[in-house]
Amino acid sequence: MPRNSTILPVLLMAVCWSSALGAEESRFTQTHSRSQYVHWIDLYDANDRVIDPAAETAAPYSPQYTCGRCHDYAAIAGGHHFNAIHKKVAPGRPGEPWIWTDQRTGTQLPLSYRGWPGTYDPGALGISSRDFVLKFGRHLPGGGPGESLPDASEGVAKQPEASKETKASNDKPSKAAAEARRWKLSGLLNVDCMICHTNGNGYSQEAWWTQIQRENFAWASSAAIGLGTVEGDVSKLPDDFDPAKAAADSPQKLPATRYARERINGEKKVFFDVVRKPDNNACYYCHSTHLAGAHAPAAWTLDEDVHLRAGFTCADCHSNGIDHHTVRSFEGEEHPSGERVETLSCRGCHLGEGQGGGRMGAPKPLHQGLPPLHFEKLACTTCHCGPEISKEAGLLQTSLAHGLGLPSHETAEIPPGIAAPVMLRDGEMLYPHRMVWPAFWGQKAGEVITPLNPDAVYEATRKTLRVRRGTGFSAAMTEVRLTSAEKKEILGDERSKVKDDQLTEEEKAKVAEAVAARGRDNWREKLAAALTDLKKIVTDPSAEPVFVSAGTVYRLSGEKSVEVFDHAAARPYAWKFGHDVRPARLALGANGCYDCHTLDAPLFTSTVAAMGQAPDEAPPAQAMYQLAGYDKMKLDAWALSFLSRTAFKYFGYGAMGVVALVLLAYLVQGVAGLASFGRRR
Amino acid sequence: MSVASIPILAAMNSGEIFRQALPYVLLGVALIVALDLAVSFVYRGNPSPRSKWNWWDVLVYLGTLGSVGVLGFTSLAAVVRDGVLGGWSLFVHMFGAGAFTAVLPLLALSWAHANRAELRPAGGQSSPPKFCGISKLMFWLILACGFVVTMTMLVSMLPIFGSDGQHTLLDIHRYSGLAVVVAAVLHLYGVAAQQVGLR
Repeated sequence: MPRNSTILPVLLMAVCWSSALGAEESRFTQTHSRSQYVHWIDLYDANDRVIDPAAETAAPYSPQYTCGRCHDYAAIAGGHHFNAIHKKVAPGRPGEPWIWTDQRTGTQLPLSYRGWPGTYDPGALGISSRDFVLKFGRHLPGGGPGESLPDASEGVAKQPEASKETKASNDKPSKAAAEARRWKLSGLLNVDCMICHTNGNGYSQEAWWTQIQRENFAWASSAAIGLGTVEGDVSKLPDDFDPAKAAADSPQKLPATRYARERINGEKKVFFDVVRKPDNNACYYCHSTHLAGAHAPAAWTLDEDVHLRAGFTCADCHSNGIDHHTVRSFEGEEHPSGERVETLSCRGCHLGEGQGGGRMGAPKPLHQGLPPLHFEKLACTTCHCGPEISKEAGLLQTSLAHGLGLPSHETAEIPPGIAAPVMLRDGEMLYPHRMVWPAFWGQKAGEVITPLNPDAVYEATRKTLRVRRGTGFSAAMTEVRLTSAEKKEILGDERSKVKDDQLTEEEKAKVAEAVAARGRDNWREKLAAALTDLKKIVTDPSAEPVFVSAGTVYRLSGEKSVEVFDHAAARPYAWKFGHDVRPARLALGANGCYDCHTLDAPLFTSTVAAMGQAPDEAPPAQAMYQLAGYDKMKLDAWALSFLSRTAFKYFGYGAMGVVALVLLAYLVQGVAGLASFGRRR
Repeated sequence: MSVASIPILAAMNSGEIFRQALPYVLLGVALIVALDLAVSFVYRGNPSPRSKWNWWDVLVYLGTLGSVGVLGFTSLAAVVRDGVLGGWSLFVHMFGAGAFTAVLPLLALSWAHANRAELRPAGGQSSPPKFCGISKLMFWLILACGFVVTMTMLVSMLPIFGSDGQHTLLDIHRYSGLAVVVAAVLHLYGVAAQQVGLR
């Protein structure tokens, strides 16, 4: 009995303990299987109510409440692709900014909520989160600014000082109030899980963007995945529209969703073809690049990243857990989860630095004949990534900056001009970068230049600049037609009456020269006039309006004249990149030392010219070595020393052959002497 | 005391280990010289007769000392200062290496006979030896380590060894180079001791 009295409580405690363990359940669901769960699920709307998809018109489904039923939406929404607007989040390594490009004003303004040096906080420029969504929603995955209402406070970007001051002005409060009303009509732009987790090609980013442009934020997810059709356009509704008071037959009403019957089963559940690990196609929509410019190779002559050719997916390295803190895979990355992620970087995986590497069968490169010093000076990406370096940095288009992925009729080199690869040093290491030069109208107060709100600039200058749709800023600024009197002056009475195509080459050149000269004058006149216009919207009374473009700053020097000067605000913004990775045989240095150690090696001498939208015949240009801060004399000295390297090798082996023979001869002599000495004794 | 608290043992890469070890080696050389000097002064006897150097001997010796001096200074100073050898230091080091590569076979051909080891006085020898024992030993050390230090760099220029092999070659280069510097210093000390009559 005493024995039982001991065992019983222990058993009871064990049962309670196991029950307690069993009770540790998550609100969220997991299968813990590598097989894909088949998603026949109920739809929920933005008010967390079940949707009847068979109804004639129904509410759009809300990813927050539909996917969030089983998955931790709050955690997901704090992930890397959605959290930039949260000021508590560490900025991380500077990456590609959002570039506010407006050809009507020649603006290309790098923006980021992350506070990367060289970028501007949208809030500080009076760009609201709604403005941001309407400008960049084409490549936003939802969440972030799409869920950042004007009155949101906790953890969300606060209005910076600059815009706080402007709140005192007459129009700002009304804009905020109007936006609050419009948010109520458009709904939130939730994180759309299916934008990445759709299996196959069933997700239409074009439909997503169309709905955003119509301000149908809450409807975008339903339309993009093809769950149904959306009829209606919030952008056409007035700010004060009240859906509750709208008459049933009124043309003014909120959009209606009609779900596709074939996607609904008998239990009114809807099929979502979900894939756990996003397909490359989903990543490529936002992370594609395209070489542009006259010297760009044809796209079909280029290979994709060597890892993808080997069968990898983007998400194999750029992976994440439910927190969606996608690993960026650069050396030294500190993951917010605290997990060690060295093996997902080039060095970690291929060279085994850190936790060991070799994941997914990563080969360890031999780098035969390459002195180890190079690994202390060059990032892996310097030799292995991006387009091959030529005499001039190439012109690159990206999804985020140029809207790649959406159908377009544009064939010209549309702004912003992004140069790549540009070799810059971070500490001692050389990395390939992409580079963009800010172009904006701003105000200079003291030594500080800050951009003015791009929309306000457009309103203030549109009558002066008059850039027609489809005409580039530069072309519009220099567009001139010679008067008959001017033609006469150039070509003489008779020849001025001849049609342009009948002119001689010499005459054509004369006319072109005159047009260019008039174009330059025209630009200067328009620039001076626009800067004068901007005096009306410059908020600081002590500030002067300026225009920044292609590494140069312009300001008024008289009533109708402008002058240029240098300023840090005109410096380019650059960010490192890691793709596409070229195979070893196409890496820099694969052909030997002379790939880099020659006097005219493109790695150091390739030139990078500033690119803006303003007409500039001689934009500032620099060689890579200047941008990277290398000593040219040292580079040249090294290059020259390599001229005799092969001869030195032969000489060295010959010399060492002599030394070896002497050593061998005296060693043999010594051994023989020792043997002789031993015998004599 | 844990291993981690001893810098040389806590160093994670061979370059850092070399950097940590360098002062101890140089201090060791200084101690050897100081100790030998002290012993030599205390037990000073009659100096052994030595053959005189000709102009060629002097020229080769200056060439060797000069090139080893340049190589030693550029590398050791850079390693102590920066931890790595790079930039202009490496550039000058490379030219010093060229000179050393040229002078080493000359040194071998010119001095090997005079530095051979003799187990007993050769019968009928007419001229006294040029070098004392320590100098002879250091000569052969300079020659052997000089061969290794040069070959490690020559071989590393060929597309044969990968990164691991390159690191191994670099390590061998470091230590054999240090051995050449130490041997050259001790050789110079031996020669100097001969000149002032301590040997």
